[in-house]
Amino acid sequence: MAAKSKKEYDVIVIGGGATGAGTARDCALRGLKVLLVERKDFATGATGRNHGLLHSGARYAVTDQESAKECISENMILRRIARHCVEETDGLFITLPEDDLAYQSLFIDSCRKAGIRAEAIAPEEALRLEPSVNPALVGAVRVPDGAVDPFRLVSANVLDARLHGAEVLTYHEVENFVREADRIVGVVLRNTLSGELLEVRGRMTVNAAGIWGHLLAAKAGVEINMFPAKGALLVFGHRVNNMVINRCRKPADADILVPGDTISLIGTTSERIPFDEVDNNVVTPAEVDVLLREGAMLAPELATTRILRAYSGVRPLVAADNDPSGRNISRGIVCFDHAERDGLEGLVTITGGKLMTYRLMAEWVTNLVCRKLGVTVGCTTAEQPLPGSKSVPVSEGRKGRKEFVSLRAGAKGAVGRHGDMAEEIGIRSGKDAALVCECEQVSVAELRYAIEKLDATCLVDLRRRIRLGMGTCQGHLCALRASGVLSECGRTREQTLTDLASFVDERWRGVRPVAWGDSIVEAQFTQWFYDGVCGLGDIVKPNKAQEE
Amino acid sequence: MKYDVIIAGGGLAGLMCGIALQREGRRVAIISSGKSALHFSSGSLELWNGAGGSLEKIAEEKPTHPYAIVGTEHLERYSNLTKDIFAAAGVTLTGDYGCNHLRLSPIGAMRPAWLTVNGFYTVTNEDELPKGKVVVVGIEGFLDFYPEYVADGLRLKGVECEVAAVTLPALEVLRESATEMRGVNISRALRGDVVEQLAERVNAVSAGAELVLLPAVFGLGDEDALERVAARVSCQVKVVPTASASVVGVKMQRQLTEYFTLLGGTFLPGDKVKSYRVEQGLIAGVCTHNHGDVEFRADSFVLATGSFFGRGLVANPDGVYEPIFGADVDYDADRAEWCSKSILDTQPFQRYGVKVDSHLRVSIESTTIDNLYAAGAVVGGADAVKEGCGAGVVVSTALMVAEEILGRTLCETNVK
Repeated sequence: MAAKSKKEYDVIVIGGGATGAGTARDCALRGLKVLLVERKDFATGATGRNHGLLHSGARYAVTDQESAKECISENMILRRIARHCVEETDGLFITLPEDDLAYQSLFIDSCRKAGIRAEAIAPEEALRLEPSVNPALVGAVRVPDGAVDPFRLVSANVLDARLHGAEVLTYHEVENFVREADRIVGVVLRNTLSGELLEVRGRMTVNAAGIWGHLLAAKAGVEINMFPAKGALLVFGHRVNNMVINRCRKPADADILVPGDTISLIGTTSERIPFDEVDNNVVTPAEVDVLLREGAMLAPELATTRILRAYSGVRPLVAADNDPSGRNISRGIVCFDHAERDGLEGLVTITGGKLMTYRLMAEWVTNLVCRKLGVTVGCTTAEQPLPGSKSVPVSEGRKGRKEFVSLRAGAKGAVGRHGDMAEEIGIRSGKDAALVCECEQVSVAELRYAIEKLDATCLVDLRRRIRLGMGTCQGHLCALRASGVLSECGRTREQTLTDLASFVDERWRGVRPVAWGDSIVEAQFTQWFYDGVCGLGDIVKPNKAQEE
Repeated sequence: MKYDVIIAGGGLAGLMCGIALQREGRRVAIISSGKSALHFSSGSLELWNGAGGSLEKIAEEKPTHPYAIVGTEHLERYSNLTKDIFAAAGVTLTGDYGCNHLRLSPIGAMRPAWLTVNGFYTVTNEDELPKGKVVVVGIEGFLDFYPEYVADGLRLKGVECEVAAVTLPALEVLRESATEMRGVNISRALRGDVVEQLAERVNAVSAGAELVLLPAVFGLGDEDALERVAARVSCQVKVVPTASASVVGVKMQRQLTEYFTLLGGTFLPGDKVKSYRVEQGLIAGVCTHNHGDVEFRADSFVLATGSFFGRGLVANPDGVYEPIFGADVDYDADRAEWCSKSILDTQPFQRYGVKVDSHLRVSIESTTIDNLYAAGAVVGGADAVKEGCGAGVVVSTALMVAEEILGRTLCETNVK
C-alpha cells in the first residue's frame, strides 16, 4: 500500500464506545499521545443501544456482589464528573402480587452488603413518589438508580481527550494489524467513506471494540471467546415515569423502565445471536410483545402510551478462558494482556463490563498500558470533571433560575445537552437561534457547533450529538432543515440527499417494528412527504440509503 | 337534525363530495375533525404517475384499485369537474386529464403532476426549462425552503441558476421567537406594503434573470400577494413548494370550505362522529362529540375520513380498523407484513383501507350497508405515493359517491 506518512502514537485505541472514549481520555490525561479510531460514529454499538440506566448496582446485588460494588462506586463518581450527562432520579424495586415478597429482605441485605443505600418503603409512599407505578404493588425499595445519557457521556470523553492532545478518526475501520515478529506495532485503517487506506504506528494498541473485539482479536491472530447477546428495548413517546422502576426479583426480561430526557425506555430482552447478525439485528414482533406486556406490569400507563421506536444492541459477553462452551459467562470486566496470555506484544483487550463501569474499565486498561510503557502517572478520571460538568450550569442556579428561564428555546435545550460547554455555542443572531428540530429544541447554532467541535459528519451523527430527530416526529420535520444547514458546509447535493435518505431510513428502522397508532400516522406522512412531495426516491435509490 | 347527506370528514374528499351534492340542491352536513391532508399539499394534484402500470389496464391488473371501481372512462369527466369546482371556489388549476406536466419539488426534483395551482412553477416537459438565468430566492432564516437544493436540481438539467436570500423588517419580527419562522407565519406577514418591499428586494437580487423562483408562502396575509409581487418584479415569478405546513394547502382548504358554506352546506369544524344508529340495516343517524345527544339524521352517509394520517384508519398491534363504523378493512393479518425495509420502498400499509362494493358502499361485518359510502383515502387498494394517485383517487371517488347518491351523472354543464 502507498501509505503516506506513518504517524506514530503511544497508544491507538480502537472503538468509539464509552470504553474506548474513556480509555482515550484516561491515556491523554496521563500524557500519552493517543489516536482514537472508530469504524462508524461514536456510540454506535452497545454504548448507544441500552437503557441509559445509571445503575446503583442493586440489580446485581443478589447475584453478583462484585458487579454491584463496581456499579455503586462508579455511580457516585459519574454524579460528580459527568453531572450534565446524569439525572439523579433514584429508582424503585417493586414487588407485585405474583412476586415473592420474601425476596425483598434478601435484596435489601445484599444491597447494603455492597454499600448500596436501599430502604424499604410502603406501597402508598412508592405511589406518591412515582404516580405511574403499578398500583397493585405490595412492596417497594428505594435505591440510588438514575439515568445517564450515553451519547453525551461519550461526546464529553472524546472532547476531553482531544483537549488533552488526542487525535480522533471516525469512519475508519481496522483493515489489518501491522506486525513485527511477535509484536503489534500499528494498524492499517480504511476510511469507510472514501475507501482510502492509512497506516498508523502505535507502541500499544487497545482493543476496545465491544462485541466486534472478537473479530478484531482474530485479525491479530488471538482468540477471545465472546458471545453476542442481543437486547431489545422500546422508546415511549413521552416521559411516563420520573424514577427508574425495576422488579424486585431475580433479573429477567423487560423489567427495567428508565426515564431519559423527554421519553421513557423499557428493556431488555436477552437472546444469543450468531456473529453474522451482529451488524444487522432487528427487533422482532415477539420481542416487542414481551416488552409491552412486561412494561405494563411496571407502569400500566405504558399499555396506552405511544411507542416511538424499538431498537436493539449487542452485549459483549465473554466466556471465561477455561470455559469455551460459554456456559459460565461473566458480565464483569475482562482485561487481557495478549503478551501474557498469547505471547503477542503490543496489544491489550478491554471488554465485558457495562456502560456503568466504562471509566473503571478505562482505568484498568490504561494502568496496563502505562505499566507496559513504563509510565507512572496515576489515574485522575475519578476526580476530574468532564467538559460540560466543570461548573454548575445556568439551569442549576449559578447565575440564577431567572436567567435560564429567559433563554431562547434552543439555548435551553443546549444547556441540557452540553452543560457548561453550552456557552461555546454562542447564539449571536436571530438566524442562529432558528430552531431546526422543534421536538428537541435544537438551534442552527448548536447544529454548527456539533459539526465543528464534536466530529459530527452527517445527520445520523447529529442525532447522537444533539438529539436531532429523536423526538415525537422522529426526524420528519427536522431532517430536511438540518440537511439544508449541513449542505452549507461544502457537500454536494448528492451527498446531502443521500445523507438525508439514510437519516430518514435510520429513523424508520426503529419505527418499523412498532408501526401502529401514531407511529404509522407519522410514517405515512414521512413517506408521502419525502418520497411523494420531494421525490427523494427518484434521486436516492432505497438500497443506497440502507447502507449505513 | 335532518339532512339529505352527512359526510364524516372535511378534507378534500368530504368537501368535493359535499360541494357536488350541495350544488345539486341536496342538504349536506360535513363533520370535520380538522385534520386535513390538504394542509400539507404540494400545490399539485396527482392522478397517475405511470409507475403502477397502465391506467387503461387497471381493471384487469388491479381489480380492487379504486380506479377500477370508479371506471377509468369517467376520469376525464371527474377531472374537468374538479377544475370547475376549484375554479368556483376561487382556485385556478392548470393542467389537463391525459397529460401530466412536471412540477418542481422542494429538493429540486421534477415530479409528474396532473393539476397544479396557478403560480407554481411547472413545465410540460424538460425541453421547456428556461434557457436564460433562473434566480431561486429564499427568505433568510426560513429553514423549510432551501434554495440551493432547488437550484442544484435545475443545474443538473442544464439550467443556469443562482441563489439569493432576502429579508425584511416585517419578517425579522418573526425571529423573536425561534419557532415563528415558518411558512404560514411568513405568509400572514406578507400583507400591505410589505409585499411591495419584498418585490423590491427580489428585484435587487434578480437582475438579468428570466425567471425568479420563490418559496410558496403567499396568500394568507393578502389574497393576491403573489400576483402583486409578480407585477413588480421585472421577470417571470413562480413559486416552489416548501416543507412543513403548506400555505397553499391551508388556503385551498379554506377556500373549498367557504365555497361549500356559501352553497348552503353545514360545516361542523372540530367535531367527530362518536356513535351511530342502525335502523333496518341502514344508518339512520349519528351523534358527535360536540353535540351530545343531538342526532344528525340523513338518507345517506359518506365516510371521507382519510387514511391513517386523517385518522380514518387506526392501527394497533392486533390489526387495522375503521374507528367510526367499524367498517370492514382490507389489510394483512400478519403485522410483520405491514411495512417494508426502506421508507422509500413500497409500503404495504399505504394500500390499506375500507372494503367497498361496485357502488363504493362499505360493509360492516361483511354486510353491505346500502346508504353508507366511502370516498377518498379511506378507500383501500391504492398506493397514493408510489402510484402517484392520491388526489385523483380522492376526487374521483368523492364525485362518484355524489353521483351514486344523486342516482345520475354530474354534468359539467350544471356548473354554476
